[in-house]
Amino acid sequence: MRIVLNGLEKSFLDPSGNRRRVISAISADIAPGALVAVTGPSGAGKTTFFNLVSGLFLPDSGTITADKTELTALSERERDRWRAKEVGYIFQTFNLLSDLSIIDNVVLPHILIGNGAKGDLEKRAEESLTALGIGDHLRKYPHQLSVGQRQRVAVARALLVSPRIIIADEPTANLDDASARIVADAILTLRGRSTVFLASHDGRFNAVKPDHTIALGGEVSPCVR
Amino acid sequence: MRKVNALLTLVFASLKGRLFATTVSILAVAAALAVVAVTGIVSFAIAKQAFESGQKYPFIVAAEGASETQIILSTIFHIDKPRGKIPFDTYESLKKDPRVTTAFPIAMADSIGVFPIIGTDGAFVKDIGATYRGDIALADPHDAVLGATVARQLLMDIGAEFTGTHGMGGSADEAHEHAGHTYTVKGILDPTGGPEDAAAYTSYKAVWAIHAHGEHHEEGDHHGEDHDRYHLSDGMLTAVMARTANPVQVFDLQQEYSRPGLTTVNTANAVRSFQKYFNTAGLVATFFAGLTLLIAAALILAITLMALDARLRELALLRILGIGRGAIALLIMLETLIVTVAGVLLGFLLGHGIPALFAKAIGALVGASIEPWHIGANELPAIIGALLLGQAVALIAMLRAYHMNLVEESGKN
Ligand SMILES: Nc1ncnc2c1ncn2[C@@H]1O[C@H](COP(=O)(O)OP(=O)(O)OP(=O)(O)O)[C@@H](O)[C@H]1O
Ligand SMILES: [Mg+2]
Repeated sequence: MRIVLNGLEKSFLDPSGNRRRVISAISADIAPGALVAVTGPSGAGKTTFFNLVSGLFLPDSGTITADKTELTALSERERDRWRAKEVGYIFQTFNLLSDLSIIDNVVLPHILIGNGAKGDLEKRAEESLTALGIGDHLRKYPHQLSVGQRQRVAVARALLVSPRIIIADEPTANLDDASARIVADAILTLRGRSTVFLASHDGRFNAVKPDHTIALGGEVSPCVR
Repeated sequence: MRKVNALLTLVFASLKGRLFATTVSILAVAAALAVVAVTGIVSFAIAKQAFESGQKYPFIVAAEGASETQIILSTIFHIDKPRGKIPFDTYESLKKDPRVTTAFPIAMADSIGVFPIIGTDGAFVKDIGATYRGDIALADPHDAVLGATVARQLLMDIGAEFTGTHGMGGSADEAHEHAGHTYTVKGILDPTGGPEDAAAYTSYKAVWAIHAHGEHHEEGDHHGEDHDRYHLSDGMLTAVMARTANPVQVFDLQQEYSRPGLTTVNTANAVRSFQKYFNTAGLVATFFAGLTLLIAAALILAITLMALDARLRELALLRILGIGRGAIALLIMLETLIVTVAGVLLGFLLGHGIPALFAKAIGALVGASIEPWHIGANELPAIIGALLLGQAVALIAMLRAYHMNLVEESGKN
């Protein structure tokens, strides 16, 4: 999916009531299947950027266009639908629903957002979880799994319906080495098929050269409204 | 459809995940409604019994000095002592009266164990309408008929013999055995659920025989007035119950028999004030049940809102996965709704199931046969109230979930 970012701006009110610009003048034309590295120190706005690209909320100004769809012109509901169909999201922590079994964690959200039928999704989920090395834990609950195993479940969920956009926000942080390698491989093999946005401090990703790098500023610039 | 299934799976998973809170909430609603149900069943049973008594024995004459309630409790329900005696000719004149279709003599002085012995005649026992074994004519002063509970608890069958104890199941110093007069059980009534289960019946003539000439205890045994009250000598009764051809005639009889030494009772009228009392009692119980219900609702609201805050991250996760605000609000509303509906169902089952299981014991306790599946007047409003309250709580939780800024909050992680 080709994604065109045009002059994105986003600011927040900080606790003392001042408006702080987190995303400032970001433009890019990203080809389908590209790997996009999003860099910047903590607090630079990486997560904020991802939330804009996935349509979770709107920029203060600027546009995002995904293929023919102008995301920034859609309503919240339309953006929810679009995200459900097009975006696979993997983030650092709190990826799973603690009350659901592993298999339900992978499948249920997709049923809820209308991404397919239960039987078919479950079959695919089993295959994918088995490939990720947690085929034996399908009926267990998140608290019974290690952090690394849990992140692999999140990967299986994000990739289940082959979304055209993958967003990975520090996907390997805090993981044991084996899990980190599995997660990193799973994400990198998508390159070429899905457009992958990746923010990571993990050296494992240093070997690959991204197609784009979006560098977010270290300092959050105060702005006057 | 599959979306609905998925949503319900999520709802039940989350209710299960908070099993303790869910259980407490359901039980709180159930307890409140069960109280209303049981109150309704019991007060209905008593009111019905009282009403039927009013139909069956519309006119009662007893001794002066007793209240209408005391008279009804002692003559119809056998749960209070008679307060004095009346001459036998009251019975005879009522029996002869053309307006009176049936009159029954009642002489209560003795007891067997904790159960009262009702001195009367065979016609009265027959009039109870219970099925029975043996013979219930009370033809001889030594014949006795037992209620089902009396026979069962005292392990007595037809042919068994017993002697009465003086006094109405009273205290030890008041009671003494009438060893001289032995009764033989001639008949046993089948259980009815009514007051007759816990009574024994003999001829009033037996009561006279015992107290007038049959036996004399030592002078020291006399306890003044109190003893004298039960000391029915020849020609005395404790009450007469009568039925008229026309209910209006009860008023005439009441006027005519209002003379010194007598108290007259228009049972139907008296029972009406009874019912008022039970309605008030039911209302008080319902008020407390309503209070419990309100507390339950507040509890559920607090639990739901607390859980909502604790689940902020999970709900945000659902949003990030593309699940809309509406679906999340629906999820929260369904959770609350399921808790209330489960509480209502459980309350109904407990409130009627427990009376159904223990119908006999409860019936014996209140002296009236209960209908465990009777839905009392206050029950339906209570159920509707519970559902509405649940709906209100669900709505508050839903609105809160809908307007929670899940995504931006998650951006702070
Ligand atoms: N909803 C919000 N309200 C106010 N400020 C916010 C909000 N979301 C993010 N911010 C602020 O925006 C800035 C960027 O936050 P963001 O989470 O995007 O950074 P990040 O690059 O992902 O950091 P990290 O590497 O620590 O995850 C921070 O200063 C943060 O406090
Ligand atoms: Mg971040």
